[in-house]
Amino acid sequence: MEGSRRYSGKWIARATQLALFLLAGVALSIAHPALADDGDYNPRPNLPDASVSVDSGPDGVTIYIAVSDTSPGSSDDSSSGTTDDSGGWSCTANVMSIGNATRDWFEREAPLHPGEAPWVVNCDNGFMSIVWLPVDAEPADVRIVVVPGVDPASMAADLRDHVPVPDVTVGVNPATGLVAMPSWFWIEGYDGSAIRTSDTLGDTTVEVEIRPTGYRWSFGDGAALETDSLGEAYPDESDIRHTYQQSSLADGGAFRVTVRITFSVRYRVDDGPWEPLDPITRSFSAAYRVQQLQSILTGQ
Amino acid sequence: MDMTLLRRFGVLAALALLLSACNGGDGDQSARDASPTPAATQTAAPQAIPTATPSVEQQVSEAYLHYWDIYADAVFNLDDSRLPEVMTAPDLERARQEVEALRQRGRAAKIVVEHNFVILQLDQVAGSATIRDEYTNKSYEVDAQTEEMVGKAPQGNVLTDTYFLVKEGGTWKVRDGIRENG
Repeated sequence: MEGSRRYSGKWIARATQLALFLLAGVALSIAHPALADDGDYNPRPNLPDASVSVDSGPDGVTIYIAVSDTSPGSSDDSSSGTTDDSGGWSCTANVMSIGNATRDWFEREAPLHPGEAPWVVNCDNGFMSIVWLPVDAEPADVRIVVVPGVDPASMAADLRDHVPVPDVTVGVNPATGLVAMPSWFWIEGYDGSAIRTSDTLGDTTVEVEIRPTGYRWSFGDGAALETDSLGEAYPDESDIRHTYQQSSLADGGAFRVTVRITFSVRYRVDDGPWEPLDPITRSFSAAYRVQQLQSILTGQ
Repeated sequence: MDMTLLRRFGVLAALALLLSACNGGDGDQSARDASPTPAATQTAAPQAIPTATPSVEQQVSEAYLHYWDIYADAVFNLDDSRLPEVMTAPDLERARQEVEALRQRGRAAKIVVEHNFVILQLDQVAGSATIRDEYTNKSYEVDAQTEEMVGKAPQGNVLTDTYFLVKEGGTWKVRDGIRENG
């Protein structure tokens, strides 16, 4: 019985220590600016931009070519070409010929564009592109509009890719996790509100808004959690919690806890109607050490 | 597949081959037919553009893929010394800036792409070619020191680039490029 009491005493002491650990645990905010994004990489990120889009309607087909000032040929060649509204871009569109060089490509691509045929857009400054038009489109029905200098869609995409997302940090309590004890997590530095940014080129103003739609937590031990909550900062009780079943010793000393935020994106031009853009994601991580407490039985 | 489409391209392909044969298969006429047309924002009647001989196309294709190999090495090793082998101004300067930008951030890039390109234009005489590549990109950043991936494995996206190549000193090199945004 005495031995049992001594064991209980040690257990109480450890439980007290544990409780103090939890109660005294100050929110651990670990900033990882190096992981401010996913690490995805687009090759040749500084290539000039252009966008080519097609609008098919009852009056025919219109091919829109939006180019930036740095697009190939837009500076050097414009003066030697026509000086029309397209800023020197003089373009034609022709049904693409399928020869030796293009046959394999055509056979791969054609099934992806049922009812359409490839046309080559050829501009006199060297710019070329391919558009898929309805198979019954006639050359007389096809119009090309070049919009030089300002491309709202490109501007919006660029704004979206550089939107100033706050420097989110991962909050966690306790500062050092314990096996079999729940850890609480939350997002710090961002309240989940919409973020807007804008840019003006010439007379055109493009505004982009991103809004979080979900958070995916990966706790580093294989467990994950999808939520639409930011969690609650300690001492409030966070709904984002995870109980580790093993220490992080075998994981290099710390688990990498990552929260991946998905943002919906929309943009508008000159206060016009909002248009959707592809969503973006941003990830933020923190190293989190989890320990295994071991009871020690003594013979005393 | 739509029979109208097949018929249309069957005729065009046959015409292309015929014209190519008439042209001796050297592809020169191709370039002339595809050369800039002064008429502004007008469409022209569909025309068959003969293609160059497979060997020249092969050269251009191989040069283009070699360009990617050298570029990938440059951004991974942060060493731009071999870029002039496959690139020329103004694109060469852009690529050098890209390497420098990575270096300054302490990052490098692992290029993982799956090409899907087509030669849009090829002129042997003028030594120019245009390639449009709609490729799947799964490239990612790595720490320049440890070479470990930064962040999570990329999900992949599709990028559409058009590259303009010129033959310089007997070697096809990328001179310029443009990225189409969706």
